Amino acid sequence: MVCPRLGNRNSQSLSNMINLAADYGWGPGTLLLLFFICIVTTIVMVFVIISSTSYRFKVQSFASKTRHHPETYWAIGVALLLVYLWVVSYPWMPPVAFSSANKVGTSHNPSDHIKVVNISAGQWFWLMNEQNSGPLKAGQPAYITVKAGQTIKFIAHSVDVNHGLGVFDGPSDGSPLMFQMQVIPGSDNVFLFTFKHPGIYLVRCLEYCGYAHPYMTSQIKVISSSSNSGIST
Amino acid sequence: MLKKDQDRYPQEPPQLPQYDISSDLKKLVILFIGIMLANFVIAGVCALGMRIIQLGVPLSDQLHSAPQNILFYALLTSHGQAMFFGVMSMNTMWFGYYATSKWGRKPLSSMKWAKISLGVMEAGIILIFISPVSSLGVGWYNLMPLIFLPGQPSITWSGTAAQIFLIADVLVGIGITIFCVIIVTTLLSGKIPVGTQLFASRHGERAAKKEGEDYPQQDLDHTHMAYLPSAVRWLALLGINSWFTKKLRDTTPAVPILLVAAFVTAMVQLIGNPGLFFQLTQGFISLQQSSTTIALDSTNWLLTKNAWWFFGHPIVYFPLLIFLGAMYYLTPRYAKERVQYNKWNYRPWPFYFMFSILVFSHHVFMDMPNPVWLQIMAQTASLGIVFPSALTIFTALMFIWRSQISWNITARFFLAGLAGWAFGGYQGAEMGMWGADIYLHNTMAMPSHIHLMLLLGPLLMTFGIIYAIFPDLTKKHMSKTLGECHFWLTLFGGFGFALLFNYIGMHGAIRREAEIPASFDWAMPWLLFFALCIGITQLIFVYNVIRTLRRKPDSYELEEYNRLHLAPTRMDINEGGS
Repeated sequence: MVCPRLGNRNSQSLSNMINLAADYGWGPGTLLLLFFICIVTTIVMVFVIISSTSYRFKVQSFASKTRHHPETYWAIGVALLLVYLWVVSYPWMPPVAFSSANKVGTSHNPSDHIKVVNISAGQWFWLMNEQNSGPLKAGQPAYITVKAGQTIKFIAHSVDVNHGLGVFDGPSDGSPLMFQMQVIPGSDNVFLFTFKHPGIYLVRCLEYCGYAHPYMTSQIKVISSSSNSGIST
Repeated sequence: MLKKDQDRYPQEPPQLPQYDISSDLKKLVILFIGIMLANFVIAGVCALGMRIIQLGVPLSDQLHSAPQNILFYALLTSHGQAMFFGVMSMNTMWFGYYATSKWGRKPLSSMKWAKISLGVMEAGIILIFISPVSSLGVGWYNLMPLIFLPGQPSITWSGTAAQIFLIADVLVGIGITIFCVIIVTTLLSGKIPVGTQLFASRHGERAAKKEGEDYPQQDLDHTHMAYLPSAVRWLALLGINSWFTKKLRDTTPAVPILLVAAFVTAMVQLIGNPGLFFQLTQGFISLQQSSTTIALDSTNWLLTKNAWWFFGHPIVYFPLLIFLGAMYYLTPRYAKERVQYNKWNYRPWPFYFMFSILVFSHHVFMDMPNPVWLQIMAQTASLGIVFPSALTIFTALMFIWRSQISWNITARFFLAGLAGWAFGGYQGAEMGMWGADIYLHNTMAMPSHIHLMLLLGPLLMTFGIIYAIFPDLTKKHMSKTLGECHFWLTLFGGFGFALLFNYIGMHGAIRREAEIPASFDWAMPWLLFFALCIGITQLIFVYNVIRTLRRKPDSYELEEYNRLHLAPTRMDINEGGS
């Protein structure tokens, strides 16, 4: 399963967390469950504190409190919840989610619907599709152009230290992070992503790589799928 | 006199085990605490410096004009490593030594090596503080090969600085290893306190119970010192026998919960430490390479990174686990309960042992070239570690529920630490799942997670422990008024700080950036404000410690110390000397 569902959505008004969980493939039931874990934990802690100080409650020994072994039910409940989350998460574990990418292999030959973008990262620049414009600064023109709706297979490696490829849902700082991948020396890292909407997307380094790390930026321009413009830089 | 009585902690007697640790160990523990606090203050100043730089307040013209804010990354490196190793790890070391001797009711296997471990650790921390003076800024987790590839020649650090930094980490690794070996050898050799009601009855305690009037059966735990067979000892010290059937549980001895915590802590780190040494070896080899190309080509940097995290995640649990063990002991004590044998106190520990080792893998599952089994294990272990954590939190709340617990400062610090750890753990599980991590990894949500897990988790518990055991170490109580200031300001500053980190992280703010994007400028003054709250209150705490150490104990304090140490009551024989 390739993960075209990991596409960006124009829903800035929603919180980033809801977006990510929805993109993650979790239904409303799971989202509600996760939300309630935090709320219930807080309420229970407050209740326990109140119960420990209020004289309305009769003091009991711990032995009598645990007579019915509530921990047993709690342990079973937690275990079931974790199994549920594991099962829900399984299709989104990287090896499973990118199984189609693995089938495409390392030949770098794009299939009919997958566009391969090769990325080289170094201190402190991004090179995409073998193009070299030297160290980059924020605000430079779009560095690579792809079509909306087309699945992009990013194949990235570093020429020096560890970097992190982070793509943001907008042209400026402060836009929500859409996805990221590590860029490591000596190995090709692969990530598949589908840009659903035209626009300018900011690229920044997310792994600390030296003094000029904050300035290691670039951009991806996404054009409409109906546009005649091909891939250009 | 009345006013003075009210102005000291603890409000309740500490009710620690009656075994009196050696005066040598007491001095060592106090020295550890003093050095830890010094490291804490220096590392805290580094953090304040980072906040000031991010705020854009010019410390000097030269600093402000530096386009890359080199100082920021030097401070970041010192702050991170000093907090991890010089504060959090040292806390585990001094409390590990104290608890192993106190609850194990015997001296450490080697006081000499315990002293050496402090010296080696602090030597490493001093070097960590020195190396950034030459602008070294590799970050606390020092991802190779950055340390010898600092970037363009015009802005770089020297090879000497890199070597000093690597030597510092070697010393830290050796110091932690010595600690782990001392704990393991102390617990695996000689006698050890053992219990469970049925086991104790075989040694005559049932007869003792019949003679006594008010001696509940659950007090018969951990009463005896025994030579345990090797296999049984391992089962007991890892808490594995708590999962046996009732019949087998009754016939296998249990050991004090704090010994289980100390043993699991030491074993996990002993297994993780080779990862550090592997990474450092790669670093030293690479520094010897004359050509950068050769160094890059001849080394598997993915494996080096994996090896670092094999050490780097256990080191996050290293400061935590032993204080969770303390929670199992102290919380019921303040809730006026006996610390009876309860299988649910022990059942999380085999899982802590297993998953604390395996959970490192979620740091590397964004590196797709890693093996498939490692990536699947990453997500499984991230969820797996939630299981023992949830059991611990539930048991802690069960201790407190309807207990009319004495909410003295130790109990409050422990509850706050539990809350910080719980919320930090929730973030950890969230980021431990790949689908969420691609949005949150290396954003400011990550420092939020770390600060919740460490600053607001085990560090708060450490403060609680210090307030509780200070009378045992010094015969003196710390000031209550200053303690209250310490508690509330730490909570306010700590949670404000961590939650704000989380908020801006979820909105895409990247960690480790000297220049924060303008859209997050509004948060910088608040972060500095919360950081100042934390910093000021730690100075108050340091003053409280120094003031208490410098004065002489009064008659009330001496009387209480003697009552608890020289005349153990029948109630206290449970943890009393044998």
